[in-house]
Formats: sequence, C-alpha cells, structure tokens
Amino acid sequence: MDDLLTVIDGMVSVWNTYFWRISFVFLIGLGIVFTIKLKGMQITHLRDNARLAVRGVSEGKGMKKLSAFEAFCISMGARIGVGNIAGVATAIATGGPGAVFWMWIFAIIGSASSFMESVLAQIYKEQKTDGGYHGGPAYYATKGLKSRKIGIFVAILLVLTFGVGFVMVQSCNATNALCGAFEFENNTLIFASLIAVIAAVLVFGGFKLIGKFSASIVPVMALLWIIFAIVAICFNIGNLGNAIAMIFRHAFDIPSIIGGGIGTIIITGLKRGVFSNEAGLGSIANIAATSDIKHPIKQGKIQSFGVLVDTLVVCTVTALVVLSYGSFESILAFGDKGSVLVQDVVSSTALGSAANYIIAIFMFVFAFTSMIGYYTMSESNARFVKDNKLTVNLVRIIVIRSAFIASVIADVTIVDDISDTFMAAMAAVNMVIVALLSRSVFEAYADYRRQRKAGIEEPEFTKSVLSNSEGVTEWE
Amino acid sequence: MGVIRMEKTDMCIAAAGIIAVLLGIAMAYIERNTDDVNLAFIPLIIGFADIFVFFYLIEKKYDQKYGKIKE
Repeated sequence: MDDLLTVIDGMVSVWNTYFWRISFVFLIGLGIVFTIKLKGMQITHLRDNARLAVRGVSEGKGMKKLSAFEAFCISMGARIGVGNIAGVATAIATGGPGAVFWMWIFAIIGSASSFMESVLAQIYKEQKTDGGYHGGPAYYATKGLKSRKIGIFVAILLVLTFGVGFVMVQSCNATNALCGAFEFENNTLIFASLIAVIAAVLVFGGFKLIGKFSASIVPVMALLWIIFAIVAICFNIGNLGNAIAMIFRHAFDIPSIIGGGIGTIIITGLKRGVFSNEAGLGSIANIAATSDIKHPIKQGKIQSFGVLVDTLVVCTVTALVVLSYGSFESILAFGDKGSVLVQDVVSSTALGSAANYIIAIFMFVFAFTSMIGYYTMSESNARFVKDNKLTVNLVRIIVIRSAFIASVIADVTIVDDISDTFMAAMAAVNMVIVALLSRSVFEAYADYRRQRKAGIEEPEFTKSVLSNSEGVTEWE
Repeated sequence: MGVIRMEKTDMCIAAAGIIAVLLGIAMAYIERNTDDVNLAFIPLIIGFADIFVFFYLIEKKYDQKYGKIKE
C-alpha cells in the first residue's frame, strides 16, 4: 500500500509542479495587472469595501433573494475551512515561516482577481425558475465568450477541483485531527467510514437545510477560532515577537533545515494562500453571482475584502499560534504538518490534551461546512453540463468516494498534491477567461466611480453601460 | 504599436497565451532538472512580461472595436 502511494505521489508531484508553474504565471501575472488597472483599489478603498460588506446587514433584511451581506457570509463560510488551520501549518512546515509573508502578498494581489471574477459573475448571472440567481465561471465563459463548449469544460474542471480535490483535503485533515485526538486501533478506518457516512447523509439528504445552517455557523466558528488562537498565542506570548520576526526574516531566505530555494517559499505561500482564500479559482464567483444587488461592483468590492479577511486575519492568527511555539527547528522537531502540527503546538501549552479535542472539533465542523459548500458548487456546475438525475447522482458518488479515499490515505502530502494539481488547472483557465472578459468589469467600474463622483450614494447598473452587452440577460 | 488588424490581434493574444504556458513549463523543467533552482526565475520574469503583453493586446483589441473606456 505504502509503495503504491509513493508511486502515485511521485506521478502527481510531477504534474503538480508543471501545472502550478503555468498557473503561477497567469495567476500572479494577471493579478498584478488587475491590481495596477484598478489602482490598488483593494487596499486604497479598504474602508469603503469593508463598509459595503457590513452595511449589507441591514440591506438584506426582509428580502427574499440573497443580500450582498448574506452572499459575503456564505462566501466566507466556503473560504474559511481546513485551509485556515491545517493549510497554514503545512505551509510553515514545507516552506518555512516566510511562506506566511508570501501568503499575505498573494492575498493582496489575489483580492484584485477576486474582485474581477465576482463582478463578471454578477454581470453574467442568470435568474432560474427557482427565483434565485445563478452564475460563475461556467456562465461567464458561455455567455461572455459565446462558447458553451468552454463553459462545459470549465464546469467539469470546477467539479474535479472542488468535488474531488478540495473535498479530499478537507476529509483527510478532518480524519487526521480526529485521529490525533482519539487514539485507538483502526481509528483511521473508523473515522474515514464515519466521514463518508455523514457525507452521504448530507449529500443524499438534507444538505440544503444544513447548508443554510453552515452559512450562519461558520462566521461564528471563525470568530471562535480567532479567540481560541489568541488564547493559545497568549500561552507563548514571550515568543510572539520572534514569531513575527521569523515571518519576515525567512521571506527571502529559506531555513537550511528544509532546503530548496526562494522559489519553494514563494510557491508554498501561493498554493496554501490560494487554497485558503480561493482568489482566482472561480469558486467564490459562483457564490458572488447569487446576491441581489444594484451594482455588480459592490459584490466585487465585498469579495475582495473577504480575501483579505481570510488570509490577513484568520490565516495569520493560525500562523502565529504555530510560530510562537519557539524556534523553527523546534516546530519541525514534531515531525508533523497540517492540523496535527497545530494540535502538537497547542497541546504543549497549559491547555494540554484538551487542545487536541477542541482543534479536532473545529476541523470537523470546518471540514463539513466547506464540503457542503463544495458539493453545492459541484452539483450546480454538474447541472450546468447536464441537468438530470444521473449526472447529479454521479457527482454525489464522486464526492463521497473522494472523502472516503482521502480519509483512508490519511497522507496530507499526497492529498494536497492531487488537490493542488486540479486547483492550478482551474486557476489558469479561470484567469485567462477573466482577462478576456475584463473589458466589461472595467466599464462597470468606470460607471460605478462616475456615479459615486456625481454624489450618488447607491449607484445603479444597467447593461447599457457595457459596449458589448451580448449574453447579459439581467440588468435591463 | 500602430493599428493592428483585428484578426492579427486575436492571433497575437493566442500566441502570448501559449508563450506564457511554455514559460511555465520551462520554469517547472528547470526546477526539476537543474541544481540551480533560482534559474527558474528567468522564465518567470519573462512570463510576467509576456502576461503584460497578453493583457495589453486584449485591451488593444477592445479599444479598437469599441473605443477607450470613458472615465
């Protein structure tokens, strides 16, 4: 079994390297271009973007459709998951403390990409018979590029990325965290089966109800995680200064204990950052399309703010939990990565073994709420390809099997490599489509700024603003 | 850059996209097959420059078709 896994990992690792380097050029290259074109809006307009996200609270009340704030909460629910705990720990263990610095940099660049894809999703959204709005990369590729074939290709890629890759990472890390907390014979197989059964119940049964519940519980859980992380940092408060210093010191200088070059730090930071905030992957665009707002730019600004909250706040506190343990060598001495490393570090404080159980609960909840989000996204995109029972059932089986297999493998490295390969392909394809359709976003942004300059508090958008509104079915 | 014909611009955009893919492959190849990993930064920097050209051509194409975006 171990030999087979080594062979599989070797093969996937080659594909992973090639796909990621291609994706790196598009994801970062275009992210920089968008940041320049938008004049660093994600930072210079930070207050306005935050205000839009918070003000949506009152805007959403009493509305049948999804408000901007509700869409923001749901997207944060999808974003905040295993990546914010296990992903950060893996980034530190494989890329050194400097990987955190690059996660920040790519979050700033990625928030411009998130803005672009979210605005596009809004412009090309479609109202379905259920009364709600649907959209995302498959929709804007089909309508904007006038090619259903590209739309189908993107939809299938999205199912593979989220329904297979991301589900695998979530379930693998959840199993590892549970095994770290509850040690007994055959615990991996038992927890893998448990996860598969719960996933099956959710996927074949009431995931809609639980999906709504998860959208409201995740922001609360994220807040609780931040509080728990701050408490954990307080136990090692004396090392906090060194933890922050390590992030900057190793940003351009990989610790010799890991080996490799600066490229290792940068790529690790990018991979784990993108896995966490999902900027440029097209997943958040699926959610951004569902909100009922007056101007697409508003949703873009809110989602770009979400990327920054995810990485600069949630991921950073996790990083500080790990790094405040002590020297990098002492952290590596645990010989673990992912959620288990976080458990190792926190359980070494006065919290003791209780930390293992608390982290296992966080991981379990985050893994399942994220999996629900990924399944919903996968089903929606599968329905875009072919809307029948067979397709939906096929996706359900794929999701459940992926969750079970990843839990049994229980090797974070292999599962991360599989997920990263799909993620890289998805990011490259989505970013090229966004670039090809970017004209519509810049026209909408110019219109938004014109109205704001004219003193209009609530700018409204119509498709007449676009020089080419072919394929835009809403915004009359 | 003078006036580029529409079809030519499309071809240039596609070419710039393919070059970006090839530079990504070159970067991965260098990383996997040479001792000096830092050499991989050469295709990366050229790749970023190529992406700027890729985006410039997309903008150029639409500016020619619909005119510049009014601020």
